[in-house]
Amino acid sequence: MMDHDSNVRWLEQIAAYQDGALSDAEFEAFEQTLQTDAEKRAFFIQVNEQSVTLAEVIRSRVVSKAFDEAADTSGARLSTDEARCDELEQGRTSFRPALALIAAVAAGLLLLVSWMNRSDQPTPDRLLVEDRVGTVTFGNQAVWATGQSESIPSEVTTLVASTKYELESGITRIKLSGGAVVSMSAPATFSLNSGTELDLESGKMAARLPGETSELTVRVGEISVRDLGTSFGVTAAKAGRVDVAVFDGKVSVTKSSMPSSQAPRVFVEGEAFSSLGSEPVRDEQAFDPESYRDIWPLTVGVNEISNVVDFVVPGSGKPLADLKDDHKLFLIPEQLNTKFDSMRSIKLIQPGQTWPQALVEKIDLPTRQSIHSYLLVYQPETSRFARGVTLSGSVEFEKPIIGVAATRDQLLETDVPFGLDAIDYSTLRYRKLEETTSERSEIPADTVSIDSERHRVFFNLSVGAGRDHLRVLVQGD
Amino acid sequence: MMTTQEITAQLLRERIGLTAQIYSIVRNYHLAEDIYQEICVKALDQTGKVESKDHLIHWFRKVARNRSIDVLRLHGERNRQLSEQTLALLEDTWDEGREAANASIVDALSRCVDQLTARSREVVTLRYFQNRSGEEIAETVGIKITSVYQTIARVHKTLAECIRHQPEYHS
Repeated sequence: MMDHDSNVRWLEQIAAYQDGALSDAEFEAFEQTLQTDAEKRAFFIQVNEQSVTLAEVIRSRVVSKAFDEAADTSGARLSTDEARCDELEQGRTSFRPALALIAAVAAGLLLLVSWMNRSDQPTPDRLLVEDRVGTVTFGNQAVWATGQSESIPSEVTTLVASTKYELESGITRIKLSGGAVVSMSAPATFSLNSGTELDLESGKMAARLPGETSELTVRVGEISVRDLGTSFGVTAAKAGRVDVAVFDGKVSVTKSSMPSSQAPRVFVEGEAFSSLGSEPVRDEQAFDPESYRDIWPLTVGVNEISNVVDFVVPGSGKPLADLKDDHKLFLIPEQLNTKFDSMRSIKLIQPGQTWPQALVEKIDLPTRQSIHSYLLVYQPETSRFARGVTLSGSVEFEKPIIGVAATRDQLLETDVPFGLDAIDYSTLRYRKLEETTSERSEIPADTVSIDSERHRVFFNLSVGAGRDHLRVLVQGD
Repeated sequence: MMTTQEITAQLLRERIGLTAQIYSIVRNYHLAEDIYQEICVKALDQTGKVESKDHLIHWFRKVARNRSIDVLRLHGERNRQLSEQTLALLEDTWDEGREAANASIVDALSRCVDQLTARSREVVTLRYFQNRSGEEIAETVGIKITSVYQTIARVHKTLAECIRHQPEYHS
């Protein structure tokens, strides 16, 4: 049993852990204690439960106070009500939090319902805004403050020209009226001059131009980055430093201090550069697409991925053979703008189906419409891999899923139109999912399902020494 | 198999414990609450697949752990995180004392909060409700950061002792 001093010290360490203030050595010792000392582990749980309960109690009092203030200003209490309130006054401290808690739970349930009925599409009313130059198509924990004289947090769904926007927390994706898709992570401050011009004051963003007619120029401080190809990332620090990485295609760069006779500099895929104030653009900057890992999936239409999946950022330079991990899958965006001129039918797992239980039939791919392709890959790092490991998770896409290829024939049939030129798929063997129990009955069958709303694919892969591939085809831009 | 109503009722009954598990990973009450609600929605999709309360809570804890880690990664969180092994061990411990945290304890704790000093109440409000860092609280209240942790530790100790004397604890 812990003595008083040990107890207090442990509680202080928990407080520091909750604050993220433990040093590396302290953190290791803290975790070691959690693993080995059952009594301290129980205290840790108790403190976390008390912390959440405290937050709820405080919130309930804030709600009660707001109710009181509203009632006081209305001045509409009847004398009978006053008497009743007086009667209840004795039990106030326990009664009110309970009421407020019910209100909080009700609010939570309302949130649940609204979340379930959420729509990523803007409402017709919002579409009528004349100055609309952008639409928020996704947000995760996104909190905004409009850049007016007093920052007023609000839900932003439609962006208008010449307004300063501040993303205070979370990440978001914006579709500009000029066609570009931009994702940002907080903190970020920016404004849109038009559907093709974005002024980035500070923050990190990634942009992709989905079609030949799309265009975008990003102005950061003295530099202007014009997208001539498909995608790039920009980070603007408040100190004035600007870093740009070109993931795909090319960008042209001009600086306001450059003589007008000087031609813009062009940077191509795999290159990066930086700029500080009026100094010349420096191109010795290391290309680091990994720093955009948190927002890049949004730019290519992937809303959310489970933690068993690592997103492969374009331009990371890793060949497929190097994407190996015993406990992870990799999600590789493949062709993001495939279009067929004539009707094409392919056998695919369809929305609402669970494979291998469901009967997989041929479906007609849409003609003259863009299709995005994503390859989900599992490749074990070790050949002497432990049996019985299952990897389960899901990937949510922005646009509706058309179908999923999982068998050898389905993968072969979709390799050419949707695969990346840099990968020779014909050399990849044994990459299909297992329909039945395999490897001497030690590994059960894999399962894949697509939800009926068509945005999320779920997988449950019983992985062994072989590789598993899964290709998801999604409606394009 | 559990019905939608049974799943909803069970998750609401165990809300504090489940939110606390998420909080222990993300260390932000409002974020923990969002994740709890998000997984509740996912749980409703499990109707017809969940065999028992234990099965439901076991599933919830696993999904909550993964989702919390995902969210932290999406937020670019740089603080060190507890290992999967430790989180799994904590989940087992949480399961052992599942009924400890329920709604009636909220009422009990509400009475106990009144026993705290004004400064202690201010510190825990800033820390747990407003999610201010220890450094920010130290600056706001005008004390050292070590004093912030000492105050929070003292609050938890006082509240734990107070709750033991409340009727809800014994029932």
